[in-house]
Amino acid sequence: MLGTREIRRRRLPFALITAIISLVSYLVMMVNGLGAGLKHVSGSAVLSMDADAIAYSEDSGLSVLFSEFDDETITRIVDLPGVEQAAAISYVPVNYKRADGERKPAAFFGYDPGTIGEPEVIDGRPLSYFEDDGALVDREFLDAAGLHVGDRITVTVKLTSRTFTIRGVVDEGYFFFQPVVYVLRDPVNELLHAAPPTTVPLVLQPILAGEIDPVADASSAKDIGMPPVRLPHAGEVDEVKEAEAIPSAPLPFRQKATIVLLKGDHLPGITGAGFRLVTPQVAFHHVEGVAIQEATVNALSSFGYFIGAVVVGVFFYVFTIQKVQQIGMLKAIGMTNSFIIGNMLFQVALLGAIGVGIASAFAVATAWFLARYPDAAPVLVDSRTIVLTGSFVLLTAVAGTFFSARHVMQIDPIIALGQQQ
Amino acid sequence: MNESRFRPFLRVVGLSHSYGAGAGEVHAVKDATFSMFPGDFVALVGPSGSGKTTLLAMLGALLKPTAGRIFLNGEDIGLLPGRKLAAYRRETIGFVFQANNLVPYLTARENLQMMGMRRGAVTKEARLRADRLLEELGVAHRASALATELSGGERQRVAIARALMNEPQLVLVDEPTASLDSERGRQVVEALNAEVKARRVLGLMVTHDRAMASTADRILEMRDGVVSDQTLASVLIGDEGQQAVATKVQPSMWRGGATARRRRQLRSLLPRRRR
Ligand SMILES: Nc1ncnc2c1ncn2[C@@H]1O[C@H](COP(=O)(O)OP(=O)(O)O)[C@@H](O)[C@H]1O
Ligand SMILES: [Mg+2]
Repeated sequence: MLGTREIRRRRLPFALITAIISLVSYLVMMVNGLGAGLKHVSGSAVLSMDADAIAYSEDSGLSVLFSEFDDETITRIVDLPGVEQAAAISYVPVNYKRADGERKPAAFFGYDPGTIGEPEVIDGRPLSYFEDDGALVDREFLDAAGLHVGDRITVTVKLTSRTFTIRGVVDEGYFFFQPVVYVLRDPVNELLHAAPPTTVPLVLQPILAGEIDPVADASSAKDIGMPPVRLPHAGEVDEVKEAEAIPSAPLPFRQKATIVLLKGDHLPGITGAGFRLVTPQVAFHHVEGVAIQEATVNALSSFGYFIGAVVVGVFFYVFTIQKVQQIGMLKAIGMTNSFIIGNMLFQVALLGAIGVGIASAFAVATAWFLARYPDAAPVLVDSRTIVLTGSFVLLTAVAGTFFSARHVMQIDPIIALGQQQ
Repeated sequence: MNESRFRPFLRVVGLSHSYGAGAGEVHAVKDATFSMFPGDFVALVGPSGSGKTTLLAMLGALLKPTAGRIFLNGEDIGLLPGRKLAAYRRETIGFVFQANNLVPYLTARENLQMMGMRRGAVTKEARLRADRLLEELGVAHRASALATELSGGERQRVAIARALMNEPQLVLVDEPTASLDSERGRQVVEALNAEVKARRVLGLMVTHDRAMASTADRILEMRDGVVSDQTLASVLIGDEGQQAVATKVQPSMWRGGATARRRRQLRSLLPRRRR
C-alpha cells in the first residue's frame, strides 16, 4: 500500500526513474540484440549445420579460410571409428553480381546432395545431383536483397565466372557476415581451386583420360598420388566440363573440401594426421572476429547493467536521504526494516517492470524497423533477448537499492523525537 | 472503551540514562522512579535539556536505559530483545511526536489504516477503526485529505488518532502543541486527555508549557535529569479496580490508617479532577 500510494502521489520523480530504467534497458536490449544479430551474421550457418563434429585441417586454426582437405584425408576422417555419417563442404567467399549489375558479397557453401551437408529447402526445390548451376539461397538474404527463386546471379573468383540460378530457399543463416548460398561442391571447388569439376577422384582422371598407363608408367602413377595443381586457362574449364557431360556413378566425396561434417558419438576432440575435429560451437567461436565481437558486446551490456544499477541506486538513495525523518518516524511507531525495505523493493520492481516493458516494445519496434534494411545494424531482438535482458535489468535495479536498504537499517528511530542520531 | 481490556500500569524504578562516556558523559536522566495508573494523563515538564525527551525515548523503547527498569504490566521492557522492539512499539506504545508524525503522501485515513495493515493489506477492522477515531478526534471531514493538506491542529489530531489505532497501553506525547497557538494547543491536549481517560490507558505528555501541563492529572517535573513527582499519590484516587492495581505496585502506600488520611488530603489538592 505504502509503495503504490507513494508512486501515485509523487508521479514526477517516479516517472523519471521509470523513464531512465526504460532507456537503460532499451540500450542494453539493443546492445544484446546487436550481439545476437552479429552472432547470427557472423556464423549462424555453422551452428545450423547438421553435425556433431566438424573437421578442420590441422594448421587451419579452425578457419574455413585456411582449412583444406584432399581426398585422402577426407577418406581417413570418414573412416574414423564412430563416424556414422559424413559430408564434405567446400567454402568460397565470393562477390556475386545480380542480373541488374549490383555486386554483393556472399558465402558459397558447396555440398553433396543426399549427405548431411544438404540444407533443408523451405521453398522452391532442392538441387539435383548434377545441377551445377543451381543455388539455394538463405531466406532472409533473399528477402533483404529483393531476389526471387528463378533469378540468376553471377560470381567470379580467380578469373573464373559462373552463373547460378536460384532454385530454392533455405534457412541456414549467415557466415562471416555474408549471406549463405548453397550450391553443389563441384562449382565451389572450381571457383576455389580453379580446378575442373569432376565426379571421380582427381588421381584417377589422367588414367581415365588415357594420359597415363598406371601399369606401364609406375613412376608417373606415384607422381599423381600428389596431384599437381594446374591452373587451367579460362577456355579449358568449359571444355573439361563438356567432356564430363556423361555422368558417372556418384561417389561419396569429390576431390577437395574445406571442412567435413560428421555425425557420430564422441567425435569432437579427436585429432589425426592433418585434421582436427571440434563441435559446431567451438567452430563457431573460431569464426574470425566472433570471439572479440562477443567480448565487446558482453562488455557493453555489462556496462549497461552497471549504469542501470547505479542510476536506480542513486535515485533511490536520494529518495531515502530525503525521507530519513519520515523513515525514522515509521520505525519509531513500530514499522520494521523489512516492511520499509520491502516497500522500496516493491517500488523498484514495479517501476523496473514498467520500464522494461516500455523498453521491450521500443526494442522490438526498432529491430523490426532495422530488419527492413539489409545494410542496417543486424539487431536481432527475440523473446529470449527481451526476457534475459529484462530480468537482468530488474535484478541489477533491485541490487542498486542495496545502499538505500542499508541506510534504512541504519536510521535510528529516535530521530522521530527530534534527537540527534 | 473496551471494558474487558486489561488496565495497564507502568512502574519506573531507578531509571537512568547517560550519553557519552568519560569526561564528556552527560547524565540526562538520573534515577527516575514513578508510577502511572489506568486513565492517568501525566504531564512531564521541565526546562530545555532537563532530560524529558530522553525519558520519553526510554519509555518508548527507542533508547536503552543505562540503569534501572521499566515495568509495563509487570514486563520489563528493558529486557526486550532488539528484534521485538518494533512490535512492542507498534502494539503497546502510541507515539505522538512534535512534528513529522504523518506520512506526507498518504491521506489522513491512510495514515491510520497503515497501522492496521497485516501482510501489506488493510484489514476491514482497521478501516472501521480508523474512521471511528477520526470521528472521535473531530477530523472525520478531513479523512481523505493528504497529510500535507492538513492544518497544524488537524495534523496533530490525526497523529493522536494514529497513535490510538493499535489500542496502545501507553501513549507517549512529545510537545504536541509546539507548532500550535495556545487555544488550538489546549483543544488538542484536551482531546488527547479525553481519549486516554475513555480508554483507561496511560498518557505521558512532554511539554514545556505550564498552562498546557495544568490540564493533566498530574505533573512530573524534571530538573537536571531528576524527576520529582509532587502529586504522586493522586493516582490512588479512583475506583476499586485501580486500587487493586495500585496495591501491587505501591503496597507501602496502603499500609496503616495514615494512607486513608493522605488520600483525602491528596484528593483535596486536585480540584479540577472530574468524577
Ligand atoms: N544524543 C545525545 N548525545 C549526547 N547528549 C545528549 C544527546 N541527547 C540529549 N543529550 C543531552 O542530554 C540532556 C537531556 O536532553 P533531552 O532529553 O533532550 O532534554 P529535554 O528533552 O528536556 O530538552 C541534555 O543535556 C542534552 O544536551
Ligand atoms: Mg526535548
